[in-house]
Amino acid sequence: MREWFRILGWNKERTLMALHRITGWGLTLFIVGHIVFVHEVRYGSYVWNSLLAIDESVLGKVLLVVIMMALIFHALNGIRIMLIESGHLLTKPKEQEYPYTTWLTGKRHQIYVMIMGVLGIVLTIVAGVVIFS
Amino acid sequence: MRESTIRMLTYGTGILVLALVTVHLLILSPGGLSRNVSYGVVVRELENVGYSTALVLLLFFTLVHSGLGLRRALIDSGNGGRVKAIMGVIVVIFTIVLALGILTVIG
Repeated sequence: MREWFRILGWNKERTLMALHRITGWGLTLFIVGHIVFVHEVRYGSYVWNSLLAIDESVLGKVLLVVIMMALIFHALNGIRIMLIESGHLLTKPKEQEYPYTTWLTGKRHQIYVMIMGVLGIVLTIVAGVVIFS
Repeated sequence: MRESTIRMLTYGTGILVLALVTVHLLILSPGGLSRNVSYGVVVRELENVGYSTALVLLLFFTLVHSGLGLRRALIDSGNGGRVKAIMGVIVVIFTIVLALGILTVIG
């Protein structure tokens, strides 16, 4: 398991996979907490409003933005994994010639990762505006 | 169940979660989060049968997706021998969370 988080010698795929796992664990913890939190609405407006104070605080809002960032990354990277496994982001098989290339450095994969980055930033800004407004 | 089937199940639930979470966030967004999480608005939204059903389905698919992801991480980390025992505990916790979610909606 230590191997997943070894920094030296990482390639892009390994970094994205480690982040995918970390965000997945974080989102799992969030969903459990979120359900327990939302259930409090059944105990009346007083209990709900006292809990809402956490959401309304700056720290609460920053935490929500971080959760949204994790969600956006996990979703976009999940689509990337599905596209790789379905063959859509892989290069066509060909005889290898020096310098050797892998699908990781292929144009389609590089473009998707760039789109993923831009879309991730845009969606995080939108989420931030909604959360802080 | 074959590993390939489990992998397809992970992808399928992931797509469903993405679709339902998008609906959930789009409903929460107009007018800002503060307005949409006020007591009156939340109670009114939970009374909407269609939306409540979508939320329960979202929770169910999320828990299945999370459970399968945790299973994969356990196997990849070399804890394959303990997968059944740990997954048993996770299934119990997730069932309680699902029950709590359903109780919130129908409460």
